[in-house]
Amino acid sequence: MRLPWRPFLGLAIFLAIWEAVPDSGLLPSSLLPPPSAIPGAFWREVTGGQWLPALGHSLWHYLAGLLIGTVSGIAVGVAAGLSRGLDEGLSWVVRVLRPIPGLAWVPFAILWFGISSGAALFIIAIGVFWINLFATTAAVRAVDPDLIELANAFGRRDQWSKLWPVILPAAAPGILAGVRTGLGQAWMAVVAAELFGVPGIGQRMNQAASLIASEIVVVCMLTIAVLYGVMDMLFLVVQRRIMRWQA
Amino acid sequence: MIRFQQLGLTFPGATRPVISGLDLTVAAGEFVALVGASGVGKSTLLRIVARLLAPSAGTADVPALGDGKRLPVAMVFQDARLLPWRTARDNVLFGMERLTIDPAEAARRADALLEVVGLSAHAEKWPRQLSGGQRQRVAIARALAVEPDVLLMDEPFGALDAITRETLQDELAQLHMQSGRTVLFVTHDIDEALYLADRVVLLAGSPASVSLDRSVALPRPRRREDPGLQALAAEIRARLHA
Ligand SMILES: Nc1ncnc2c1ncn2[C@@H]1O[C@H](COP(=O)(O)OP(=O)(O)OP(=O)(O)O)[C@@H](O)[C@H]1O
Ligand SMILES: [Mg+2]
Repeated sequence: MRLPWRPFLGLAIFLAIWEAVPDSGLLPSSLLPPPSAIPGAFWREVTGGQWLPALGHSLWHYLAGLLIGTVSGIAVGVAAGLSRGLDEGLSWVVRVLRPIPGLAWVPFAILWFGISSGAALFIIAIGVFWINLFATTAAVRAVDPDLIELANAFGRRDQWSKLWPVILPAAAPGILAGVRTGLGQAWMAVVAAELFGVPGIGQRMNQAASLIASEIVVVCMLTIAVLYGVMDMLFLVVQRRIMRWQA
Repeated sequence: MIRFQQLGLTFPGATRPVISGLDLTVAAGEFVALVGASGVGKSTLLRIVARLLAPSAGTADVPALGDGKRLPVAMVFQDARLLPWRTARDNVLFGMERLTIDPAEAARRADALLEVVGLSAHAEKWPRQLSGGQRQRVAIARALAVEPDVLLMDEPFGALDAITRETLQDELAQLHMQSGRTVLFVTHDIDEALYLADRVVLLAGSPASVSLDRSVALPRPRRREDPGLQALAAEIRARLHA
């Protein structure tokens, strides 16, 4: 196997430029901390007892919001994909609600749930919900009609009897693509939701910014990036397992 | 068992019928081969028997839908149509899952049928890992597994090599003699039709109807070299090209 030297080189150049900018006096290091300051800042965050609890809160918001949004989005999506009537009935409601960005729900989230984890879960779940709803509806509708006919021919005449053995596996690639998009979307929502004071990485980031502790902001940003990377990798492992019948 | 009277079928949105004024009766236990030009309506006729399509004119007496215990009709589609997320073996189990069959008995049947179609060694493979002919054989096993009264086969051996085809023809002929099952068998191979069937029905015309209904009164088991078969083949070919 050849070493992937180009990505390394790219990363090294990126870090070098980043290091050079505060050194050159273009920007004071309070506004842009050099990368060499980050490991130390990270260690202080961990030993100071800030990092782990913030991480715990954010992970909890992320996983719970993601679960609620994904499960409800897939459930409604399957129903809408199977039933023309339901899909039509929902179409105008969806057209009005869907373009509203998750962040626009913050005022209501705070009114309904207060500055609490509930508010964060709501904001995260609602964004994830739409993504999964649309991906699932489209995937279910696109199931190969030949496979539906096969199910009919072998005694599965009603929708219910086709759902688990035929429709869901056939729609799985499309549904999983939606889940994966939601996985990324949810992190954005986590940060946004926590900026309003719900404890977590987003809140910590906001605190640090107001103290002009920019290296802590960078630590928070990198934490989120790494968490997203880990989640995405886990997802790919699970997906490969579910889709092992594919080439 | 199956009776069509002045059967007509027009696809929704189409202006002309595909089938019109078709009369055909198939008795229980009969093996009927359906031949005819491509696009004439052979697959469409099988779909009507399987209640996948409803006739738009005339009457169609076809077996009732299953009651959960049995599947009266099973189909081998023209394309193998396996579920790509199931192994060969699990595809054979698919039809039986709807029926009240003891899982151990279902598994035993699946393995026995995979043996019959020569795929025991490939039971745990995904469909994408099988050749076209192997997939078709899985589809045949899947249909046989539900032990239907009526077996519908849409060019089941079309994609197979000559040797496998002859082996499976012999298996099918033997199975038919033993089980007394009704078989409706679509093929474009007249020799195959004559070797297997009690009757050869030629569909022709647009819209299609029965243009020839010839019984094959030759004793079983048959031999491919039987001169009687050759003579009948010549007769049907003449009609086909008329
Ligand atoms: N779902 C459909 N909607 C509209 N027309 C159809 C549909 N299915 C088949 N047809 C038309 O009905 C006619 C008969 O089709 P069918 O599949 O029964 O032919 P066939 O005799 O099985 O042909 P082949 O030997 O090529 O399989 C064709 O002209 C085809 O175009
Ligand atoms: Mg056909």
